[in-house]
Amino acid sequence: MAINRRDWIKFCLSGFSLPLASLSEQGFAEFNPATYLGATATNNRYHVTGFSKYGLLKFHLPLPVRGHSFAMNPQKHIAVQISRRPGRYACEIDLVNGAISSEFSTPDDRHFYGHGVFSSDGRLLYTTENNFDKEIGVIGVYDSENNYKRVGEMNSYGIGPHEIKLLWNRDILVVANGGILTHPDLPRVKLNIPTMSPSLCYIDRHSGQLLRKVQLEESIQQLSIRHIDVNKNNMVAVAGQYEGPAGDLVPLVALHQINGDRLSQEESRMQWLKGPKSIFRSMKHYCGSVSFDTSGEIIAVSAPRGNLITFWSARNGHYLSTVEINDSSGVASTSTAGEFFASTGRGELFIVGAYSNKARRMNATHFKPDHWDNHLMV
Amino acid sequence: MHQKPMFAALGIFVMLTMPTAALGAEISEDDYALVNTALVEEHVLPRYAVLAETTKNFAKSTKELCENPGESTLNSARQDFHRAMDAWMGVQHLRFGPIKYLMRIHRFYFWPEARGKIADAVRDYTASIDTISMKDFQKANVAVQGFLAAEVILFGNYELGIAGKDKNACKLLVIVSNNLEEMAIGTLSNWQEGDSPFMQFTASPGEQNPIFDSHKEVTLALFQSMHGNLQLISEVKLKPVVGKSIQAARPRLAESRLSGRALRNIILNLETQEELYNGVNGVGLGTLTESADPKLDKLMRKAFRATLKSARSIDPSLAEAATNEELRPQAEKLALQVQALTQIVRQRLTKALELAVGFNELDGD
Repeated sequence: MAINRRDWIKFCLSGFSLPLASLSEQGFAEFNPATYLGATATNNRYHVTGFSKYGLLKFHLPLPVRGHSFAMNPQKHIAVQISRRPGRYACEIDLVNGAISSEFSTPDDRHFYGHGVFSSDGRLLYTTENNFDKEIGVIGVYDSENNYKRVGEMNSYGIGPHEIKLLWNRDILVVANGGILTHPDLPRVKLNIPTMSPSLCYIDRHSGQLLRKVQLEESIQQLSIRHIDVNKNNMVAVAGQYEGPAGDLVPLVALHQINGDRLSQEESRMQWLKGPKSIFRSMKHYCGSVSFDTSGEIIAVSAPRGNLITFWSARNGHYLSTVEINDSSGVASTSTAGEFFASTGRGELFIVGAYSNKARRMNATHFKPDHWDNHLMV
Repeated sequence: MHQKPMFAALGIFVMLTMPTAALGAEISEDDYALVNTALVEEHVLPRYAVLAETTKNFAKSTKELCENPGESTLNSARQDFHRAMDAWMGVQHLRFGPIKYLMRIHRFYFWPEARGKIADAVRDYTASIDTISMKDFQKANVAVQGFLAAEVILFGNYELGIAGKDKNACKLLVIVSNNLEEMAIGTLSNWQEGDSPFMQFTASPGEQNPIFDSHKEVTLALFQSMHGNLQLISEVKLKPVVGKSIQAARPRLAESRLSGRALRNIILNLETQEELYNGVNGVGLGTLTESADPKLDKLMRKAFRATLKSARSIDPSLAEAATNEELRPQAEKLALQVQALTQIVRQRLTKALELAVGFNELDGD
């Protein structure tokens, strides 16, 4: 059944709500295949929730544990949900049928950190994991064409690897080693704050060889770099969480890019983005997620403690604007330049714009979980 | 965990998510300011003053012990250790402000982070004692700088009470205790003195204040101190030790195992949180709840009393209670009560105090 865009918008604005099954029957996925994913919690139960670019619910699937983020398969309409630290559960989601199509877990002596990425051919899944006995970060490799059999493991070259991405058109993984040591026996306790050493590492996905390691200046060793995104120029946006005293004025958002085969002097450092002191103060030392917009020129960084979404220019490295949203954490780009979906810990969904400087609540979801988890993915 | 048995353990039958529509008027900035001032002046500062005083006495008695090793000086040093540790348990919940300067919070007490690394660190530093000076001790491994190292030396396998034995360990103990004193004095002084005393930040939030934008934010810091400490008692001090069954109890994971004060720590922590809620002279976090949600206020006060009563009735120790079939119900009851109390604080007190504690902001993910 074909629905044109105008009819669809009219339908959405009519306030007429259809049950979920009916929406699927409308051939919604066919009309607009883009699916946004977020982990949610409602009545103390955990779900993975998929919605369309109009904020309409596509599916809401129960999870046995709290989810965190996703790896989107670039070749097929599937994604993998990876559970939150120290979870060991992951599952494949069939985005067309809105169903869990496969489940798998880490070995007993590893756990996930909630993030992963597919290879560009869509076959291998790379996930950040903790080898907690040896206290080192690793990247697990799973074969999606073989029931997610674990087929390899490589070093992440740092402690506490968190978000992981693949550079465009290159077989290079980039991983944010947050630097913080944890152990499943004490799941929420950070074990090495005084000696932490965060890093951004570029790794050959075939050989596991470390290609580049970018470390932070001594004065900001307590800045855990957790979240990253990559644009089509292979520029990496980095967002941090600072563990030091509340009054310290520290940078929180950075860019990094590698060019040739050797790490130049310039490449050995992060380019910390500039902005007014008041913005850094308002962000309360804590970034939740980072995402490039569809143009790759605008970066959205959420600051849930500061109740803000901040926007930055990838072109000149400067702060642009801010939108205030309580407990906002998940951000994912829409197909419009400078525009993002933003989700909150209070179960709300917004469209926010770096240019419009506005947040528009998405009431059309017909669905409100109690909480959206930290990340959104498209 | 089911809610009913948990609250039955507290002798209280309530739903966690009671309707909040009937709550009182909005809490004003002046209300928050009043409570913050009282808590800083009557709860925070006096407790840091006690820490400074008791660590000073501890430093003095360790010096005497090393100069005149014997049973009596060893006992004095141990007693002063206990007094200083009592003081620490009374400020362990405060995880903001000067205690975070110079990584003091980790240097004072690297627990539960250290996970068995203290004894090794003490051994290493004892072996190279002649190369260590007080001046650069603050840069030493945090595992060897604080109360945990002092406990290993005083209550472990070292023979400090016998003249001529374990002199190097005693020297290290003196350095550690002096370090504790220096940090405690520094913390208190950073709260009260200097160009920008921290109490000025808590008293005058606003645009020019680098830390707090509003009085409500200061209250949030105090609230998080309470919630974080209750969570620590529940998740780390009790749950792993008591275990889900007697077979799963792990007494070796008890806090302060060597000095045998796991339960004493918990009681002191709970008393501290009760004070933070009730206030020293009647003005505490509860002052805000009293008008916003009187039923919750009554519940909170009752829950603290009931939980403390259970903790105080455990005899002789937490480890014994966790592993002895007859005594075990006491330990289980305490674990359940602290869990329930933590849940009330997280789910209901936040609402009553109008403090938004975000779903994603406490997780560090």
